[in-house]
Amino acid sequence: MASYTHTVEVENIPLNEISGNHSSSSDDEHSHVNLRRARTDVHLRERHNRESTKYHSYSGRERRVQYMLPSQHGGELLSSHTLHYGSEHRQSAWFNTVMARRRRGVSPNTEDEAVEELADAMEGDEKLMSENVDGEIMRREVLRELYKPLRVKKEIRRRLTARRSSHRYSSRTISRMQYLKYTLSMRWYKIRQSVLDTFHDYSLWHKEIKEIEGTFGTGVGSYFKFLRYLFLLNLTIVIIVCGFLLTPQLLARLHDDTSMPHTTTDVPVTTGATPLGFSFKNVSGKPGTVRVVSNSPATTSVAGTRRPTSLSTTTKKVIPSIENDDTTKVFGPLDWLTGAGWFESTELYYGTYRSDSFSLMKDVHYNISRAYFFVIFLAYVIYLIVILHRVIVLYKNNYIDVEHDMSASFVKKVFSSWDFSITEKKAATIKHRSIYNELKELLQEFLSEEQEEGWLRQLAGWCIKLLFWAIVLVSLGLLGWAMYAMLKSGIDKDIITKTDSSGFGPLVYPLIVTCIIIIVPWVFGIIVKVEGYRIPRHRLYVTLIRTILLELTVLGVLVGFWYMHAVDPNSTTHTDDSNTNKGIGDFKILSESLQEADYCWETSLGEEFYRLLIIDFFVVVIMQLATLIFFVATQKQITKGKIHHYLLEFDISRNTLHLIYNQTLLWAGLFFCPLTPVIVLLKITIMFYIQKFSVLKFLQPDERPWRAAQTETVFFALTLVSLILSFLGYGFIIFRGNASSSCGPFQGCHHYIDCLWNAANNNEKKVLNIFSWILKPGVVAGILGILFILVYCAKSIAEGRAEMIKVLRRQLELEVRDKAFLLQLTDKVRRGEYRPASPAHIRAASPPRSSPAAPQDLTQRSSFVFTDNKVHPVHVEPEPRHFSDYTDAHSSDRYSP
Amino acid sequence: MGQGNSQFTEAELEEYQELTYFTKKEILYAHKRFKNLALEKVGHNRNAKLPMDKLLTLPELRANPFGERMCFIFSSTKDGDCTFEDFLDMMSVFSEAAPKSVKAEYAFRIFDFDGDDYLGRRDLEETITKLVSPQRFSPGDMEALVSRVLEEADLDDDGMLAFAEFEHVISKSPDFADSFRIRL
Repeated sequence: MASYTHTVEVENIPLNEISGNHSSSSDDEHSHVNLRRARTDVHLRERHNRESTKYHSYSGRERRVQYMLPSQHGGELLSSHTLHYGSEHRQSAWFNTVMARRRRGVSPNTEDEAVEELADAMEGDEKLMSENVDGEIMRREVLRELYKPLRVKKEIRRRLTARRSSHRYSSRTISRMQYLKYTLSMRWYKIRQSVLDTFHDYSLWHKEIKEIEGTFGTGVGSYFKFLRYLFLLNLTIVIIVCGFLLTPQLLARLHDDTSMPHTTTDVPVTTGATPLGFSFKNVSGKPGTVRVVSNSPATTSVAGTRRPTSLSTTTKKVIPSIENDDTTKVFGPLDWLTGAGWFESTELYYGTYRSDSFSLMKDVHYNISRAYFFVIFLAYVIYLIVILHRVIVLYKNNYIDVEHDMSASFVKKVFSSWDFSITEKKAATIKHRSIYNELKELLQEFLSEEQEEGWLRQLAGWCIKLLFWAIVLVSLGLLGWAMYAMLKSGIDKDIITKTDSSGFGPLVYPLIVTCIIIIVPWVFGIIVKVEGYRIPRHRLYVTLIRTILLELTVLGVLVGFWYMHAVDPNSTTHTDDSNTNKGIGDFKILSESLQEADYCWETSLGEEFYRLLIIDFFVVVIMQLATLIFFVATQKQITKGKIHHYLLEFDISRNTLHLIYNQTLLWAGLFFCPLTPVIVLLKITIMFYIQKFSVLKFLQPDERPWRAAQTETVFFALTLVSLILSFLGYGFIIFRGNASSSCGPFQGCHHYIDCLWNAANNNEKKVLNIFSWILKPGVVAGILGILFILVYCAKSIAEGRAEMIKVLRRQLELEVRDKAFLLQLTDKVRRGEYRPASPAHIRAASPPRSSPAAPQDLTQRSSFVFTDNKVHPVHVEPEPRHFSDYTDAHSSDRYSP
Repeated sequence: MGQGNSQFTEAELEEYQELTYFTKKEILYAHKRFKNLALEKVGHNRNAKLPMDKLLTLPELRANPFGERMCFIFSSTKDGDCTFEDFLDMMSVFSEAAPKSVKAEYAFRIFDFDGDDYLGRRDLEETITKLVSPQRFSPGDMEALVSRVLEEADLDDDGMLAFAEFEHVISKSPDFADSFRIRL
């Protein structure tokens, strides 16, 4: 009944308007539109009242008549081409020609005729036959999209070519120039096409991914594609880092080694710019005033954590180098695992990079500290742009364009859930079962939705979810605290026991972290099942968010810990000591006096990241091996339990998350260990083959439904979040962090950024000022804000469109009813049950007062539009008005007084 | 060496390339696959017509519940037997490069079991049955499912889906283009 009163309200609006201004006809028209709109609402409401039988009174014969209508004539061409060209705003004259012929009742009987017809029509289309590349491309597309067997297409193409060439010969004298142009551009088009084809045929891991997708479907394939994407991205970064940072550094080292006899050099202060665009000067002080004690041969070789290069600071320490020089580190047996020892003196870590310029040629100087900053910054920016672009594209395709038709979930399940790429019988069986379960679940969900839950139960559900979230967050906090305590105690213990760095000691922490990263997400997966999220996708998302939080907590604590120790003056002694332990014992005596000079926290942190990456790799490999052994052991077993099933399943989301974790490690460690991209690259490559082997040989595909497109977007968004956080952390450290004073490219500066400020004078000041301005938090926030606004705008536009779609949909429904009604009428006329309607008749038929003659038609019609007495209970105005739509020409005069 | 190269001239390859969504290499590969189904016959006549049973031994079609339908749709004689060109046509439509609209058109034909240019209730039931194959829905569930599908997609309320309606819904499904794909 509620809807009833509402209906009246809706209907009243236009009515009042009419009574207000019924003088001019344009107003009248306007009100008609309103009336119509209001009626649309009425229609729909009535439809929801399940009175559909009233509308669907047409059946049987009438229905068959309806099929004869042109719009229902789903001819082979009609549907596709109108839609294609309609959506792309392209005219297709040839198609109109064909349709016109059809409308005239001409349709081909034999295949030859059909070919002839199409060819003729296409030839008549000027745009299609135009002699340029656009025409050629268009022809190709039209032929490709034609719903005809290949044989027919071939025939059509041959005819078209023949006609075109004869046509060309006839008009050759006129357009020789054009012809030349055409041939040239056509050749260019073909070359480009073949190059693209070659890239397509030989793209990285093309065959492997094909094979995997063939056996396991697109879900598993999407994991491997993500892996490939990260591989290519990291490869780019590796090239940049190696090209602009590693090579110069190695060259500089080589250069120093060969021309070392001198101990002290005046660092030449130049303003010359290299071809790379960096111009190089001494970083550590004002131009021309600073003397840098350059590295003696021995110090360079030790490099690593303590390189006592003295600096422009007031206290010049040149002392300890002498004692240390003879201790060039040898490669220890465990070094490759811990990343300490010998590695500390390689270019793997921050500490080894030099802070001064070097020159291979005269007047060309390359400043490594600047290069260090710019290369790392560039790497971050490239990552950011590439991934942001990807996220935006995915978001646009999979959410903004699509989201508003979420109602169509059943349709999607039915029409696009079969994965045609599956070739394995086993995979097919699993897919069948998964589709069955999914449809069943969806149906139950839909049915249970109809009976709404009580508010008490809903409240309880919310409380449980909140509680679980609180528990998870608190335990994450505790975990973070525990990690912190462990790091601290680990370092204290180091001091007491004086364990050598070559032992397993440093491996404990990364091992624990890796185990946490692998085990806790499983726990999350179990927890989320208890929580009672009804929609599986929500379950997945919640687990994802928690896992990412976990990773961020762990890494955040790690970086934060080292950072605090670097900044906090009280703690330096401790860290210092620990650091010394990693070195040589006798150095410890000196360390007291050399606290600041010796300590290089960046390198230590870099080592942690190295260890995390390596240990993670080994743990994964061991796990895969264990699974393989398990598989072999249980292969002969006939009854396979749930655990068996669980262990041998390829969990796409967990594996993808693991990739993201790896990538996050890379981003977090990039500054401290600039060669992480190389490590990750190697790791990804090996992982690809390991995973491929295990997937093809013994794992089973995930039985849960995997909506690749949308979940991929979520994964990329998560990647982006971790990247942005790493980037911000990097920015924070650059601006606020204390650079180690004795090692690395930024030695001698209090904050990292100071080195750049010092260098920023004269001609480059502007550039650097702009640069620093961009880096300011406010500006970054502003840029992010603008991005958000843009996304918001795009989304609102999409929402607007969705609204429009709704309106049009209603309109469409109305039109269909109109059509049905008219058909019914014509049918009656044909049978002679209804007199043909002259205008006068219509006028007479419409208002009940003036023509009580045709009551049955009237009721039918009114029930068709809406029930009269329902809509207008109060007889403010006479009913006739509601038929105005049908008697447009005559209605206006009736409204005038 | 041959790779079936001997059976096609460059011009023919070019023609095929223009009419399908394949590169030349892929066309040759497709022919290789086709030839392997019946070595002698195809070796003799490269465009030989293979019976449907033969085609269905291809793993891509064998595991597919709609494999038979696909043969029917793409067969130029409409009896399920396919020549190489028909086969190439099929693979081209299912290739990665084929646009969504083309895929949608053929998908519509595949799901239209009775061939009346509409997806009626019967067609939908058949589709769902094939999708879940060894499992089975109770008549009531099936009824509810079909009704839901129609309610969502049937814009003009005539109790079945015309192509325009089908394409409209399919265009909203981001997974469709991914799933309607065969990797040869």
